Amino acid sequence: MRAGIGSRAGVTLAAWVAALLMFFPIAWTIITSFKSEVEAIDVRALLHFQPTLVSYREVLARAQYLDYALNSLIVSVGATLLVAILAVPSAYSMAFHPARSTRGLLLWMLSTKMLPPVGVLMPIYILFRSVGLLDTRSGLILIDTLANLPLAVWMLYTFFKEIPRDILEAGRMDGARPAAEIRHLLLPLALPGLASTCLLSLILCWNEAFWSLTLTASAAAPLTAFIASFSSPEGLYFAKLSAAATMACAPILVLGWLGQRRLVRGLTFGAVK
Amino acid sequence: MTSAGRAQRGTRLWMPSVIFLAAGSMIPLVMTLWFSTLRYDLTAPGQDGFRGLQNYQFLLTDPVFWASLRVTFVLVGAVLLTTIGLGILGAALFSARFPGRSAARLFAIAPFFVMPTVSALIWKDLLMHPVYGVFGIVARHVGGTAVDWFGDYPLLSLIVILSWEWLPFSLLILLTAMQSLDQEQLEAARMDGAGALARFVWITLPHLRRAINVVVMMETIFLLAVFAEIFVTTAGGPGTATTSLAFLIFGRALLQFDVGVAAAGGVIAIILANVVAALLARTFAPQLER
Amino acid sequence: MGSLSLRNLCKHYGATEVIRELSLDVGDGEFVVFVGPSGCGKSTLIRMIAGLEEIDAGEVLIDGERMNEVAPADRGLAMVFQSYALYPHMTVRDNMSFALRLAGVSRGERNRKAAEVARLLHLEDYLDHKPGQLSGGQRQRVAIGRAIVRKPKIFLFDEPLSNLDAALRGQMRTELARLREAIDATMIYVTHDQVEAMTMADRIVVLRAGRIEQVGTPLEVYRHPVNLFVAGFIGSPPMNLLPGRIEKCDQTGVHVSLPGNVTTFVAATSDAAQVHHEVTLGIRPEGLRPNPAGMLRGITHRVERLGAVSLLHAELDGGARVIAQIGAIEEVVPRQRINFAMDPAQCHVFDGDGQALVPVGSQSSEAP
Repeated sequence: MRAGIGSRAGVTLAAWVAALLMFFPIAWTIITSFKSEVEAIDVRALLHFQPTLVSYREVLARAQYLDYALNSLIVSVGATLLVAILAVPSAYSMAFHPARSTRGLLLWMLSTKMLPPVGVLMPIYILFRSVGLLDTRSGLILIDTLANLPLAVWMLYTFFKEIPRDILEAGRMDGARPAAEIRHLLLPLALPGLASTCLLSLILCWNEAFWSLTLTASAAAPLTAFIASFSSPEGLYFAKLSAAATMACAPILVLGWLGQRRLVRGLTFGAVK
Repeated sequence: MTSAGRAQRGTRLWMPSVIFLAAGSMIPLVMTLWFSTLRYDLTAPGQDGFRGLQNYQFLLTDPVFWASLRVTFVLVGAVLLTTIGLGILGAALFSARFPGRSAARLFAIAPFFVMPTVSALIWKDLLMHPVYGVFGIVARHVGGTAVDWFGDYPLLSLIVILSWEWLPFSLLILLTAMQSLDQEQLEAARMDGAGALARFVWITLPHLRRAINVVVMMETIFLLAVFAEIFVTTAGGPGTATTSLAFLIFGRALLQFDVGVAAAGGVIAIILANVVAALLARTFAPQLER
Repeated sequence: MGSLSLRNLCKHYGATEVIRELSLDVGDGEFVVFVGPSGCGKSTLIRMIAGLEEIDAGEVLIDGERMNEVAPADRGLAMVFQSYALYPHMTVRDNMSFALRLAGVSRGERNRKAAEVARLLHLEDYLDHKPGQLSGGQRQRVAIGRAIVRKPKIFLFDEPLSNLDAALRGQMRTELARLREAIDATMIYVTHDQVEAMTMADRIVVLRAGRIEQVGTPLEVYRHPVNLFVAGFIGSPPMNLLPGRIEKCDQTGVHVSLPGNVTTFVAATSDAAQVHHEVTLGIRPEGLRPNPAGMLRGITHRVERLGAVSLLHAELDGGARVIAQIGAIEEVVPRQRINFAMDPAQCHVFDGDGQALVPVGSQSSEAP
């Protein structure tokens, strides 16, 4: 839209207003997190207050925030590792050795993602209970892997397919056996794609809010469940909620910001690049 | 090794994933189907027995069930409309070059990376709370009264929250698609005399159709299963005003421990998701085929 | 030491046959060019030789040894790809020495060899650059360098110049010729550009729809095309083709009548040629000269002035459109009546099946 200066200013204004409006709830949370509980509910202290870390300290010390954070970390990283181990060979064989069944398999994987979790809530709950996986990190890792595997395979598949075939053929002419081909050519060229896929998996696991609420109680409860406990709080909690929320979301916010361009492909199963 | 030999070795590599996924989805699926035909109550063991389709009958004659369907569809529909409508506008806005565009974009998509439970509570307590929330404070400041969002308009409040969470997703995808539009097409249209609005309607929008389809399909799948936000704000209430199908099933399963009915509900949810997906696929698939 | 034999090669994709019963012998040190229109199978053929495509039937022999089951890297070949296929994450030096690295050669030795080849190709200043930082011509040279380092018996080139612009292409042709002198190896070169084929080849192999139409030196193929396809494909601008009929034929040649009541005698014949057969008379632009006493009459259309020569486009009475090569500054006015004379020694006659009649008193050029 090559319009005049006036319209350019209008666009700038509109876009920035929209952006800041979208960001406002998060910004407000961050601001509130630096207040004490009293200040948080005091109208006069809306914007004029002395920033303090007291709420953070309370959340960290008394609410055992770190235990929940550790659970989130272990589950996210664990599930992402498992997803990577399973998805890389699959995507590799589908991209480089396609068979007639390849397309059907990929679409089938997509279809498992369409299963509403609530539809299998009962059996999963009962199964986990009987094998002792309820309220365990391993249980959550298993479920999260199941949930993210289709996405990862699709995403890696599209990245692998983009590696030009003749680069690999040139490698073969140079004498690269399959193992050398993977090590010297495939992995370096696919590394950015692999990183994006792992990033997406990390984000989805960290933010996962159905199974972490239904399958955990205390031992394996990740941050999603911890925050949920603020829904029926005792006493003043707004500042603590803000502090906990800020700490819980900051890492993913940063990671997401860093990788946002490459995530679109994974989010849409490669349909939009 | 010849290329035929390599192909043979390569094709088996996808088996671990497929077996894992198949087991992980088929087994629970079959179990759900089986449970749905049982009378199975975790709080009263020993009274189990085959019930046939009675659980389904029970559900389908329960007005709460139909209310939950209505809630679900209203939620999904409203959020879809909002996110896609605003998403298109946002994409149009952000595809233009303006100072600080990258930074503005980061701010605009931030909500997507926030946990659902955090999103819900931020809105409910810090923003929408009639006494302590910012909205209320500002309203009173300018002389009006605070709106009791969750008290008076629970479903609307949820729609607002969900739209806020999903708008970045829609924006990102539509923006990516918009930026892939060949500039020369727009220039050719301009030479043909098309104004900004005409160019938008006749060139940009059709180009976006595929991306919109993708957004609709993906959001529908995830929104049909919305749970955490409801769990953390209204717990389905007041009454059943915000009980979605997913939440209803959750209640039956883990609050009332009525496995049979919960499983039946689960089956209905699965059928629903598949029907909707099939409908959407049939309507939009011709454009999705690549 | 670098001889290649193809025996009855066949390949199909699904129901389509892309290479049909193809046989060819290439001698050690020869520069052979596979040329043909898109889809003729030339790229498939070179990839079969390389080992990148499966062979459905037939054999590939290098120095007499069967190579069908041998992995590409073990065949003693090197290939320059159309897209260069350089490793984007490696430097020029690493790109060129990758094969040596895989073979376990020490780093010092690898770098020495890479430097040597870089010198040969004027790439010394770019050894530490990555492909993304190089121009098209430089990347192409790196691709060639990568092939040279392996000291193969046979070089395979898959349309290496088609991604370059015209000026660069001319430059690279000279480079490649120079390279040929520096490196004594057999070279198989695939292109769709018949100018490249004509200027670089020891022998040309003209391919169409998976079959060899003709094999011969460039001049042979140019002067004695064995069929209509080769006649029309080799030579730019293409040969003029006029429909005709045999009026009289004997061992000395045939009398061909052309539209516009013209008859000419061509000293060529074949066993199947008979009176009243429909034939096609071919004459290259340089064999058609404006001449007031000439037999062919027509109307001028336009002149393309190329600098050294000009091309006169005309339409003969009877409907055939022809191109004649004329001098640079000859005056020609469009839409004027004009007469052409044909040099009978440069005429070709093709029978109803498109096969060339054999010039009387000469041996037929090689055709499979």
